[in-house]
Amino acid sequence: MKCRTCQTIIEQCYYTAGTATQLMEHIQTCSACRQAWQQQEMITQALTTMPQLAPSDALQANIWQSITARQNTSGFSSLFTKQRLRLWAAAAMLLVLGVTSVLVNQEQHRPAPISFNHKTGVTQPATQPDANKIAGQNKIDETQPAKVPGNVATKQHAATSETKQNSQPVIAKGSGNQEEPIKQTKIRTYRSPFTSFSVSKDKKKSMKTLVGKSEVNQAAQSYTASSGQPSPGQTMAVDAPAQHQFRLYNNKINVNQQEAARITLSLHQGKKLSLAIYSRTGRLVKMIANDFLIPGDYEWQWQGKNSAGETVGSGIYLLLLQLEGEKPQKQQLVVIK
Amino acid sequence: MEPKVSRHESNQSEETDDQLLDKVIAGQAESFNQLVKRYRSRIFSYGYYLLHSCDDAEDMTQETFVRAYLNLKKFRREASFYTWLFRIASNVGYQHIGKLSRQRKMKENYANNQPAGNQQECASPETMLLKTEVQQVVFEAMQQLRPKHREALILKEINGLEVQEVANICRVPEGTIKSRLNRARTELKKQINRMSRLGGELVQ
Repeated sequence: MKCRTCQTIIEQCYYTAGTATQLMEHIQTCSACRQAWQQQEMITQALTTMPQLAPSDALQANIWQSITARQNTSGFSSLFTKQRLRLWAAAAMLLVLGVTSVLVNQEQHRPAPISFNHKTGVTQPATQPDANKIAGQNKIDETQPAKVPGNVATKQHAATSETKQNSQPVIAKGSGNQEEPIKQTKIRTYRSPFTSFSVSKDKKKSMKTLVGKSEVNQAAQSYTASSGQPSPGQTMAVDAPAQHQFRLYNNKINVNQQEAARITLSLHQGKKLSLAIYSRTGRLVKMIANDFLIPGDYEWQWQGKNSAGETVGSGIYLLLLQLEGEKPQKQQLVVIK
Repeated sequence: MEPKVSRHESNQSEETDDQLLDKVIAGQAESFNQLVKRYRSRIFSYGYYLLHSCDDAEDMTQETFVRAYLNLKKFRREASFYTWLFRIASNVGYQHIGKLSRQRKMKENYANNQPAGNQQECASPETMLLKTEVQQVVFEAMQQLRPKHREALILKEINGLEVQEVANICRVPEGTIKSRLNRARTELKKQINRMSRLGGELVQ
């Protein structure tokens, strides 16, 4: 047996009948291996002869005392052990943080309210008490969908001279016969003995009826003339640019790859519009929208299909936006097959 | 490599562990006392050699038996009660080691030659332990080992368990235990040689 093998066996303490005999023969002749073996044996013997120690006599009593104490703390009180209390505290903190972050997030996304001074006609940021008030009033405006299918004007006779309606977005007629441009970011409606107008979910047919009602217009007009203030019941146009943003994204679409042109429109006042795709020869390919829309942001997608749902051929097409009373706007788009 | 005290030596004329466990589960809590008496010194020794502190070893022993009693119904009897008990002791011991950084404290305690806790109780083990110079050196060198290696060495060499039992207690494969034992022995030898050189005398 080689010294290396011998020392490996000694280190691992792995003796079999065969290896033990060879080991003994080897260590008779090799002093280094004999020393290693003796050292290992000594350590092993020291370990195996380590005494078994006895605990104190009070151990048994302590054990039962501890068992009794823990059994008494079982049940409901065990929910509030030191370790579990930490877990409860951590869970509560997470809950509070979550609720706080949601509330803060909601608060940050709420637009700043504005106020309108009737006497000066100046729009300015509301003071804090007014801001809270207006914010509460406009809460529904923010959450309402941008598109309202139609408008119904209801004539109401309110007891108070000025009541702010806040339950629905409101479109009202201006003081003149024609529709007043509603320049607004916040819509406010004033009820008066004369009239007030509110939008319901009915179709625009009734809205058109309202527009044509001369008695309402005359009443509002006379009120404005006499008081020098906007007529109660009017929706005020407040602090907003009258620019409509009409954009076409992805004006080159491959219909085989299911691409779609994206059309966006940011409408700042209620308008009747028609949005359609025409071929280069002027043939109507697809009417995308033909409706009365209230102010808001809109988006449509055209996937290269005509009114019959068939995929159109390759070529150049025109996207035409016609807003009532405004110059038509057009965009070109290319369809690839 | 025979264990000093046979595990079942005291059981020959008494009830087996399973019988006692059945009685305890049936409601005879006094039977648990017999189990405590049967295994307390082994658990205590294991704790003492692992933690090198009488107080900690006694705490560990107490906690081990308390946990065993409270969780007796969870014992599936796939392994022997002895192995299960050591498994609990091992967990408790590691908690002690991890929580209080015992190793540093152990060195300090040993350097001061003042074992913490009940001095009367610990005086006897100490004197017994330091009976021979070799044992003293080995005992000191053991405290320099990593806890996992030390645990394997204590269970295998001092408590006389088989490698398979040690593997069950530590919940690792047998090969891992063999590896740990090998490394523990090698490291122990290194430590002994280092201490012998520092002390100016060889073990031999």
